[in-house]
Amino acid sequence: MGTAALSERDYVHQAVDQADLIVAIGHDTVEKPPFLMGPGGPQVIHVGYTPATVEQVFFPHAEVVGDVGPSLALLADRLESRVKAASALLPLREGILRQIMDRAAEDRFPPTPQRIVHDVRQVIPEDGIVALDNGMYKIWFARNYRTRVANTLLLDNALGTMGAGLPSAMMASILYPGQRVLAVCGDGGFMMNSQELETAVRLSLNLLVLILEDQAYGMIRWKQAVDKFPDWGLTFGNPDFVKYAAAYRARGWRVEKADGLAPTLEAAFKAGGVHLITVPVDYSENIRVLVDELRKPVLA
Amino acid sequence: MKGSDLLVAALENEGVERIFCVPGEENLDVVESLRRLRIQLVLTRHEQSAAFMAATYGRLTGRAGVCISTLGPGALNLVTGAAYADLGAMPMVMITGQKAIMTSRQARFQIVDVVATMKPLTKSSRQIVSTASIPTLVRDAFRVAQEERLGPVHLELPEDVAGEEINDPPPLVPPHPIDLPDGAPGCPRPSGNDDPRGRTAPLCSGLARAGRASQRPSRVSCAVWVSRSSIPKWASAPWQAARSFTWARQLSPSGITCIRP
Repeated sequence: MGTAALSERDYVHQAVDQADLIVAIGHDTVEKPPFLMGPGGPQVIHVGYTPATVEQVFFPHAEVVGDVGPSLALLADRLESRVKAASALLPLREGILRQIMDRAAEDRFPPTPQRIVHDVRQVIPEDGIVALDNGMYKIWFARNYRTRVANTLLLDNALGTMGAGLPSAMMASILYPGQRVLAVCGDGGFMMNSQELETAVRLSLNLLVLILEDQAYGMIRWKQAVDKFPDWGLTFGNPDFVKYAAAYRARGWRVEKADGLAPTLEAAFKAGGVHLITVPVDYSENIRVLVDELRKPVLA
Repeated sequence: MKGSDLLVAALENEGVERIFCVPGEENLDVVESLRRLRIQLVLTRHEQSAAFMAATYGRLTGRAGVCISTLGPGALNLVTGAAYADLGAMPMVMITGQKAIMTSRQARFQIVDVVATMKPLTKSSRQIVSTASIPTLVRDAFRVAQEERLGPVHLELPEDVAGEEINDPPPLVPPHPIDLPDGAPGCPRPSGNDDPRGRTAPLCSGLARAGRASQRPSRVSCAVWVSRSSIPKWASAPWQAARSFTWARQLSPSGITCIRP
């Protein structure tokens, strides 16, 4: 179905609401709840290395505890060809995919988050790694960026700290020097540990850092708007990121048109070394999609 | 041999290849010991990044990443990384310096109770009070960090312990693979008794250690699950049959039931 970037009323929750049973594989309640359990909702089986912690919103009815791989194989033994209505939710899935593709190819500038996620996916191969800092774009990447290989979208949904995007991408680049590695940061989070560009250059890493620039602590600004507070106290200025990159002897790029992002990423990956790419982002989609659109069901 | 040499030997014994570090005066013995060995020292420009990198190493490999900082301000800059690894279940070993503990020629200059600071942010936080305990404390730090639920461990090495000469160094504790009862020929299987209650604790923790050490395991596991339970999927993926046993707990007053292969 996709990822639940929100705890309720996201597309995926239409499936959750229709389900009789949810098998929660490896869920750890440090993560923002992917769904909220309550009285009368679907039954939940927890499959994990350790028992589930019991929470107000997560209290599984049964648990399978142990190495997850063998546990799943054994469950599959019992389920093979016995799940009768397994494809019942397929139309919903198709609807969700259509919804996610909406505006993914639109050429307004500054680009929408949907377009940015779409373009990043175009240039990152299946085993390439995208490491996110924390910010508004995490929700968009979690919902729209589809992966086929585990640990190829590194996001921190546990502590949710800002500033870890660049260091975590550097580590991925050290471990997988032959693969494409991209850090995606906001201008807020990037500047919290941007000094590590020097480390990345010194270590001769192959690494791209994409900065989504909105001159603000954008996620909090969004929440401020959702809560109907006036727009106040959350904006700042930035250095010229192209010159900033040059000062570290990295290469800086500024994306200035809607169809400029994917070719810039491609050219930077081909060149090798450390690159800093800045693109403005249009966060007006936040309210339209994550608040207004989610009030309506995907399939009426 | 000095305490710091023994510490670095114990890290090498754990297979540590690189250490992320912002050194301080209290780590200079450790830096010198590293210079003589094969472990790569990666300097970062802030301790927080060193911790984020070490934690991500743990996240991607299943083996504990290692970071080092000095006392006080350096150690306090690790705390966000400690919480990142603790909440995110990433195995990591953090080693911080400290002023001498047997004398106090600088009074309380720069001294913060780092062991206490790290306690609520780690699985374990301990001071190394003598060179004799270095091999066991380091081995145990990696054991704790790398077993489920994975997470960070903190060790504090005071500079006088690091610099102390050791005439008769204690032996290192070799790490050993954890053999799991996976049902393969020659491996123990559960006997005819279906009731696992007599072996729940060791079985559970033994199994729990297994999976994440290999890189990217969940792709295979989840692909098996999806393909065999006929749940529609969007991409086919190769899967391999996993042979093992596990047990299921029903949350009912009757207690525990067992699923056998």
